[in-house]
Amino acid sequence: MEHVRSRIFAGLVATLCVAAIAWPLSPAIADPGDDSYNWKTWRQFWSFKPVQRPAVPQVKNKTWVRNPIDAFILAELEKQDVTPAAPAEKRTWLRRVTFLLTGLPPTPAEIEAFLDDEQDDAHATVVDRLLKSPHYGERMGRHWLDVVRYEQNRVRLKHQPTFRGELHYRDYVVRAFNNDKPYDRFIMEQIAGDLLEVLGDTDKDEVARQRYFDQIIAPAFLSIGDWFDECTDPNKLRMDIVDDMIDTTGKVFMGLSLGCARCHDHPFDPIPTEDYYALGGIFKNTKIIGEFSEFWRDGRDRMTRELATKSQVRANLEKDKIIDQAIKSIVVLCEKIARQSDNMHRNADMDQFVKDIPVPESVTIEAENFAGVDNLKISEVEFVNPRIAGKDAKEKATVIETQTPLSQWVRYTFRLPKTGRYEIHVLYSALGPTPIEVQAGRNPATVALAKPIEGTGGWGLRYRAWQSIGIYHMSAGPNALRLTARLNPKTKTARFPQIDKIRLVHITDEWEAKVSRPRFGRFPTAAFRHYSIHRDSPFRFAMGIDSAVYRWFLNQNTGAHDIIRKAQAEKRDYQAILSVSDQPAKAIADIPVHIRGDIYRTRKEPTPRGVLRLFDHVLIKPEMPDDESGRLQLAIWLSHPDNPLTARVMVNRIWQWHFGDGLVATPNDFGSRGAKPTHSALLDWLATEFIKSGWSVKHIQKLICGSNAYRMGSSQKREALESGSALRFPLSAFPRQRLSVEAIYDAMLCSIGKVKRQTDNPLDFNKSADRMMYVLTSNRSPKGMGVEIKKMFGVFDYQPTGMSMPKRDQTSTAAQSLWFMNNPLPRYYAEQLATRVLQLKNITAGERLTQAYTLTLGRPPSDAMANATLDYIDAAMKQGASREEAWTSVCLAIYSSNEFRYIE
Amino acid sequence: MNPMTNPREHNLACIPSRREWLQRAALGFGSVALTDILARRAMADARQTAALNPLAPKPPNFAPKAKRVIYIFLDGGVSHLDSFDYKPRLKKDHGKPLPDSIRPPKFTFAPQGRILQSPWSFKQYGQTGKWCSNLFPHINEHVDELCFIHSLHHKQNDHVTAKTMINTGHGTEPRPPLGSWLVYGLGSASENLPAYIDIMPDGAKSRSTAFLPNHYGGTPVGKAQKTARFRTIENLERTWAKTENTQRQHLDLVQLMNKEHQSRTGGNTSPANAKLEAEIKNLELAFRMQAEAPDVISLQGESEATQDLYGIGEPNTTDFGRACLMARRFAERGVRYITVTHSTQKYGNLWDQHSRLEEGHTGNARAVDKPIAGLLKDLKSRGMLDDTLVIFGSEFGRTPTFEFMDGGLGRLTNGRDHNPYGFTMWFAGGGVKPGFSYGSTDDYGYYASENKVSVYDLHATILQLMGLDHWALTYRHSGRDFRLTDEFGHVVDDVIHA
Repeated sequence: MEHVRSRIFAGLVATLCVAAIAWPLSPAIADPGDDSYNWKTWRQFWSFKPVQRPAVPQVKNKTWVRNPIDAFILAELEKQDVTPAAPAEKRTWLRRVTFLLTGLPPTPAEIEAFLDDEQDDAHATVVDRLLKSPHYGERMGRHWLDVVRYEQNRVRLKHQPTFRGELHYRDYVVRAFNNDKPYDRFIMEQIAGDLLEVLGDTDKDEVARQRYFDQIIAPAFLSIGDWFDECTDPNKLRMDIVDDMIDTTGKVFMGLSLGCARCHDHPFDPIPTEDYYALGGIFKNTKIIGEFSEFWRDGRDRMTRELATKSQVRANLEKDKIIDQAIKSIVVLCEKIARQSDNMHRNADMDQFVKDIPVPESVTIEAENFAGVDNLKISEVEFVNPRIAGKDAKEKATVIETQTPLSQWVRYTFRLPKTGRYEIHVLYSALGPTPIEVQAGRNPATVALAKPIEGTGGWGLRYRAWQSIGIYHMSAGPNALRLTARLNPKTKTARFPQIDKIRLVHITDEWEAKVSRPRFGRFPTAAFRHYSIHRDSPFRFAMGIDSAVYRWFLNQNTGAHDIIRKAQAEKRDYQAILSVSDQPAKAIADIPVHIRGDIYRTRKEPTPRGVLRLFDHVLIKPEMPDDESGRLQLAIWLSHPDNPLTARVMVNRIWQWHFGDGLVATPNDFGSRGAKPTHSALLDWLATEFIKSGWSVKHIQKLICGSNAYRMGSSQKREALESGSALRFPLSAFPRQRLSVEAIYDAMLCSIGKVKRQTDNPLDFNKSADRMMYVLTSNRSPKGMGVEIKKMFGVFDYQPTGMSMPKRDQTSTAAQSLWFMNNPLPRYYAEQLATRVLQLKNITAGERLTQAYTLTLGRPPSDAMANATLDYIDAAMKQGASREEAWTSVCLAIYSSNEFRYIE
Repeated sequence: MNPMTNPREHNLACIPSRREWLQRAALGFGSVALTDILARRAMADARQTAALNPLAPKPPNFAPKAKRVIYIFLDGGVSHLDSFDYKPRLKKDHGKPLPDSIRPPKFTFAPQGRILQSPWSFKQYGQTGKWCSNLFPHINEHVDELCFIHSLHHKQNDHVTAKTMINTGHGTEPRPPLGSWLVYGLGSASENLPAYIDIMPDGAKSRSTAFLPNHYGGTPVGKAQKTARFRTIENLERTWAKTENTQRQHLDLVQLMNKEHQSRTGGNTSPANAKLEAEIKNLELAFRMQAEAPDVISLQGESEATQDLYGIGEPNTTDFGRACLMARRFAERGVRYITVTHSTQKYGNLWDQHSRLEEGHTGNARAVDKPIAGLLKDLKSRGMLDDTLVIFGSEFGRTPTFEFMDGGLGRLTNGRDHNPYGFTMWFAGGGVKPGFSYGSTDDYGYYASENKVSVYDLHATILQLMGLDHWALTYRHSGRDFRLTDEFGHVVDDVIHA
């Protein structure tokens, strides 16, 4: 068995693009002992049973059956003796299918064409056209983005406030639907795209490049979650992030809430805690944030990478090297000057003098070994020191530096052997003066001083220098030192020097007596001088390079300057995307069960990484690699055709995107607490059809949209209503649906001709930039309306919470009515629409009204309504409204009407 | 009979003629009243209303002690140690480290220093002799009305998660706030106003209704840190329509279209048209709200004496006084749950005095003390205090220590850190025991020690007072029956007035 498994996985890893993989059903593997679930029974639960293709049922009214979907639905209706609703009018059907497949209303031309098309396949022609429309991907993509908890602007990076890398994921999703990316591949890319093999020549072959880009963009699925990055406890934060990934993966692909098992065995579904932590191990070894230490608010940014091929990234690195080389050549010259100036301050006499007197005792503290810190972080810095030849030329240091430019402090605690005076030296770099407050001693509140720290000419090791920050009286035993940078009242920011080391030099009277020579050269104190030039000193004198000198050389040395300029010009800027990767191979490890979810109470033995044991009877448990997280194996397991949940969950979503409700009313819950399918045979038939078609979403949609069920009107016959059966029984009519907030907005936008219809793939995002889905990030909102658009989302039920949102609410509230009544946004579009119809030349008022109706509702007004409306206009103008105002208020009335925001 | 009654009776033949439009324009308010009657009549149809209107009043589980809640939320973290939780040990041990018996938690928001005594002086107030500081002198006059819980605790150590915790019962996941649960459980008691009003809310996550549909959400009136001038409900005020009449005519046109649409899609008796019917009703509700709410917000008709009670007109208290008075006016009109948030940067960062404790808390307290006391007095004099539950609290309390640990580096000018492990809230009216204190913290006020009350217990108790059984109030989402109190919570019977 072992052998077979590893062979299968070795094979799979090599050929990951294969859609359907021959993965043999394994005989039931022995249950792993100590758990409380009755697996045999659980595996008989409807959604955990393997999917089998049911026979298409026989029905009495055969003429109603356009495709097998109809047979399944009609069979159920006939059982209940319910007649399906009469077909919708052509106009109604077109509006329905166009909104549901593209999120847009049909154009007047499309309506006319369809009404004129008397062919039998007129409906099918429309469906084909819409499935090919690039707007299709926008509508489906938006559904998917809800499901995967995507929210524009949620992904914020502290140090890159303008980062918009998550938009690439959005566009990837749109692209995937437009290209009908096989769903198994779609899963694979989102969970483990970064681990997939790179196929083809990504530099020359556009298709290969796009495929590679998709692979590295897609795993943002794991990174876009909403976890609270300022959580005080970093260990908890780490597990919160893991939990977000587990929970989302479970809900999105399997329709299971795995989150419950974080603290205890799932009470309603067969998810033991071990299985949660087996998955947890996979995601714990997945890296989406930078290194972060134990310290408060440190390094908790999502990681990014360049959207570039591997060779493009390499080429940029080459350029960086060239630039570094050139800079180094200049630095060498600078250093030479610096040494000369050093020597001007020393002479043999002084050297000799210093040499004769020993260095006083001292205590040295590495800056990173602090006892407390705020708004500072630890960084590794590197510097190629031209003074040191050979391979040791590279100097490295760990320093502390500003993390957040707010008030910052660092505190050290240490023991001193003797009571006495201590001079404090700091090894640091700073571009300009950075005043810090120094508090030192056992009760340092009494000796707080604000001390200017001089600039050393720049940041980084290259500019590192020592400075004395004063003499303090300290007693033997425990002491503390605290350095604080306060907010500059003007700039409201604070800056901390980049500190490498701190030393406390014990100054005794005898020593001082020996060195009491009036002249210290350029050195401020005797102790400082001693440490700077004494041969026995444990510190080498590190002298900064004057940045003015550096700049002078840069300008003089045109050769180097040109090299730098050229290399910089040749370096290419790539967009940043969210980056997901595995931990380094060495760091891959399993994690133990956290008892009751407590990060500080874990079981002794780690739980081996793995997948849910629930499906051990149908799927072979993938073997987890030692040098990778196991995401790839998880993705294969999830997207396997024998996984009982994957296809069922997705076809149910697709169904819901058409009928408003899924066949299973709880799209994210296929467990025991979820709803049972209303048409389980249909669900399974669709699932098998989905897999058979190579996981083609469009194939399923073509079936759905081509069915007679989809053509039903939304009103049932009175008799059916009165018997009550229609109410109880779903799918006897097409359910009326309110448009999503995006569709409402886009419909207004369309009425003023602002959405350029595209007919060909790929979608041109620029042409779509006005649509609500993009408008907040494309900066194309009408002037002053950005805030209103943002608020409109919440008014019409788009309130993302950072968790998977399988279905939008369709509430109707007074707040929505008030919005139509008084908000400037619909008013703005009404004005535009009024202007549009008023600009039309040589037509009657009635014809204008027909235009307004057609552009919004896709039909002319009834005669009665037209007369009433025209009278309304006259009345309004009689009361003092201008013609424009009167028409604007008519257009606003149309936007406010139910017909505008409901599809039948 | 006025010819314009007909259009609402789903008969298209009766679309008004031009003459009628003009007539209606002249008639003005007549049609408003008419719509009102029609809407009410429809509402009276209980069965239909239940299906259509999720905010229809629902029966409680048992007789409620309180009919409404006014929740005064002090944003940031009021120091219980400097207000109502008197700890003489702090004075005695000032400047010393905490004893070994009291260990600060593993991760605190900021490093902990030594013990800091309260800068305020404490004495006994009222008949009950409650020890209080002189931080809230006006509220102290009412201590005999108040029911203190001193032993509240949770684990969320930073503002965002703590605020989410105290409002929703969960720190890190989006859950509906207490007010939304109440409205979900009880429906609305007001026909023309929202059931849940947030006066000057901050933009916190904890206001999102999460998985509950958004009609259970709070309606914000103004925003944190905006003054009274900006205090209004979104889109409430007429913008383009110059007169109420203009707006009414416009809405009549919309409703005409809606009726036509409805008749084409099966008439208004069809249950499938429930959604459309609800939309039609909402439009009328919105119109009535537009008529009524601005009046509530404007504080029209309040006597000078009443305004004085709230400190309106005095520079320090006028702003929060208006907010508190507005809360009473909403409460009077049947709003179920009203929050009044005090959130200002005027005296330092909110109520979050990590430094300059004395300065910040004094300024903040001065702004809210009189208005809150005024609210209590006003509710009482109107006989409303009995069935209005007033809650006073913030997301957590503060530590008994200086902010900075530093082996003695803390300085006297510094303030106190966040302390969710033991803090105080008080309640008044609405069925709680007056002049009563429940639970306590340790000698230094760091951890809740006796009769501990978790946030779940707090929520269970508030629901209980409102007539709801916290175990029975569930909402099915993602396969789980969610509860405000999760799987926890015990009603604190001891604080409930028999």
